[in-house]
Formats: sequence, C-alpha cells, structure tokens
Amino acid sequence: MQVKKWGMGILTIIMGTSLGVGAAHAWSLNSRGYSPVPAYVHAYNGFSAETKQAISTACSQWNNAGAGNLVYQSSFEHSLTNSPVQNNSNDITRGFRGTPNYLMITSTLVNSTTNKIVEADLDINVSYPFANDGSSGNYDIGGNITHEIGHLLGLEHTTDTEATMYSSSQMGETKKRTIEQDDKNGILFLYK
Amino acid sequence: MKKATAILFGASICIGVFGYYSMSSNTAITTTSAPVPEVQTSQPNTIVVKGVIAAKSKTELVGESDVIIHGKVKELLPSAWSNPNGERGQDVRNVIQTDVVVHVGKTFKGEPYAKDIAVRIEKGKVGNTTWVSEGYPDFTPGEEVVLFLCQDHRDVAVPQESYYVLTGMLQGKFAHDPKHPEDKQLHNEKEAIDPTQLADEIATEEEAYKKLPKPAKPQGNI
Repeated sequence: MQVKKWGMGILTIIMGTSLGVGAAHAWSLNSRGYSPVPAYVHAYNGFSAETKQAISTACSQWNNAGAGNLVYQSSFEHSLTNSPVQNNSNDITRGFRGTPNYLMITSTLVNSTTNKIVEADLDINVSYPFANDGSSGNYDIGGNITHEIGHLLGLEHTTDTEATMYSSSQMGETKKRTIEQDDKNGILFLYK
Repeated sequence: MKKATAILFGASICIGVFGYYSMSSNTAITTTSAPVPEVQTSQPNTIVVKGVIAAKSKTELVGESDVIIHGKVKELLPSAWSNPNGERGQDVRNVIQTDVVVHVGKTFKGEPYAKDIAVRIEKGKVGNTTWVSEGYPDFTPGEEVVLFLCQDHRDVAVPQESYYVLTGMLQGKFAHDPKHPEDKQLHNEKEAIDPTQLADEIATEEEAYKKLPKPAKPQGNI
C-alpha cells in the first residue's frame, strides 16, 4: 500500500512536470520573435549621420514598448552593398533595387527547429526618393526604419492604418516613427 | 488524498514551466557582447522577406502600368534564384522567383507580348530554401485575375527574357474573394474593380494620374 502511494506520487510529479515543460515549449515555438535579445543591428558605414540617428531613434521606440531592451544599434558598421547576406549579422544596407519593389525590406532567417528569428537584414531601396524631413515628395527614413525593425523583432503587418506596422507608406507620411498601442501589443505578446 | 495529489500535480506543472524558462534565460545570460545568431544551413531554411511598400491608388496603378489584362492563371513554373545561372550566390543580391503563366482574356491597356504571359513574383522554393515574400500575392491555377503589369526595372531584372512584374506588387493583383463567390467584383487588399466597367474607367484614371504630384528625384546617398 505504501509502495503504491509513493508510485502514484512520483507518477503525478513526472506527468505534471512534463505537462509544464511541454506547454512552455509549445508557447515558445508558437511565439516567433528574435532570439536571443537584445538584437544588434549594424549600419552601413556610408549612411549619412541623419540616417544613423534615425536607426538609433527607431531602436529606442521598440525598447520603450514595455518589454525591455530588445534591439540596439551596434557601434560596429559594415561596408556591404548586397542584401540579404547570411553572415550571422543583422546588417542595414542601401542600394538601387529598382522598381516596382519594396521601399525597405527585412529578410529574416528563421531557425526551423526553434521557430525563432536568428538573423535579419534590412535594406533601403534608394531607387525611391527618401528624406527625413517629412517632405511631400519623399518617403520617410525614420518611420520606415522603425517599421522594418518591428519585422526584425518578429512583428507581422497589421490592418491598423495608424500603426507603425501597417504594410504600406505614402510620400510625406511620418506617423510610422512613433509606435502605437497596436504595435506595443504585438511586442508585449512576443516578449513579455 | 485526492487534494494532495491535485496540489502535487499543479506544483509539478509550475516547476516544469519555471524550469523551462529558467533554462532559456540562462542561455541568454551566458551570451557575452554582441550575440551571434545561430544558423543551421543543413536544415530547411525559410527566408522571410517583409517590408513596407509604396501605397498605390487605383489611379496610380492605371497610370504606372504598361499592360492591364483580365485573364486566368494557367500554371506556376519551377522557382529559381535570380542569378543568371539560376543558382544561389553570396556575392550578388539574389532572390528566389517564380514565373506565373497567365492566359490573357481581355486587354484594357497596352499590348501583351503573347496570349500566355509570364508574371514574375518574388517567392518560391529552391532546394531546401523557401523564400516567403509578403509583398507579393499568391496565385492558384485556374484563378481569374485582373493584373496591372509593368516592365521589370528591379536590379534583378533580366531584360532579355519576356515577362512582366506586378505594378505596386500585391496591389497589382485583383481576384475574387473566395469567401464571397457571389461577389462579381475583383479585389486587392484595399480596392475593388468590376471587369465589365474597367475599360471605361481607364481613360478617366489616366487623366487623373497626370494631375497627381510627382515624387522627388531619388538621391541615393541617404
């Protein structure tokens, strides 16, 4: 009788622990984000000071979303002109990628075992006109960089037209620079 | 007895969850300086490309398209890397592309190069690498579509080949909403068009396009 009681106890512990680990692992697999955080992004060494500042400001936006420090601009810069390049480094590049094409893209490499983003390269297509002054004939550098860093962190597009993660951008539009509640909800879901 | 077992079971679940996340966070803590992402090249890779695209109204789609057609998707050809030899390379910008063969029924603008045309989209699978690009729509054989098409002016264009690309990327494809088969209009993500009236709209949209403010000249050195 005593042996049976101990056996039931041990079995209960094993089943409970397995269930707990399994549930946590399943949650982890189904919540795709960047891993490990914080991520570091490396800017092209030919970017203007204004563009480098826009990258730094974009990182700060996501770090203030309420889920801790998720992404930093690294002091190490690169000289790459192609993207994406699979090199274990999150590189931000620019290039004349032509039209019709993305204004900016983020190419993410996902580990198929963990379902986590392990590398993300951001590219600015300068075949389109860009500026950081909100002028009507240009697409905004800061707002669209903020959008792309959201993708690096694992966010998808949203249907909320006011959010940073809305899929398209118009010339002169600067509202993507500041993340909205919809964007914060996504980050909190992935990282909190 | 039952109460004690339930408490033990619940506590074990909590220990399991706590243990899993403790192990996960320990891995992060042991990483020093800039973390180096892990890459498993021998396993199937999925490269997911997401990004922001230039918003296009119907007026802009009409004005910027060389060819606008109503047709039916025939087949999707095998995907290939954009390199001229169709293979992957690290020293050039390289994407996976797929040609969608579309049989042209009616032409609203321009003159397609053939009755069966290729529309090149940036997504597909080559070997163990899958390229998922959310700015491009999916196509299904047999699907009825209205397509706004233009010449490829991307850096990976192959001028000696005959094909088109979608004006405004996914905004350039209009198709039936499969959830509402009774709806005769074709939709992209924002707008709808009636193929029976599109021919009459083209001239008006072309005139409206001429009046739109034009973008600044790209500088490149941002």
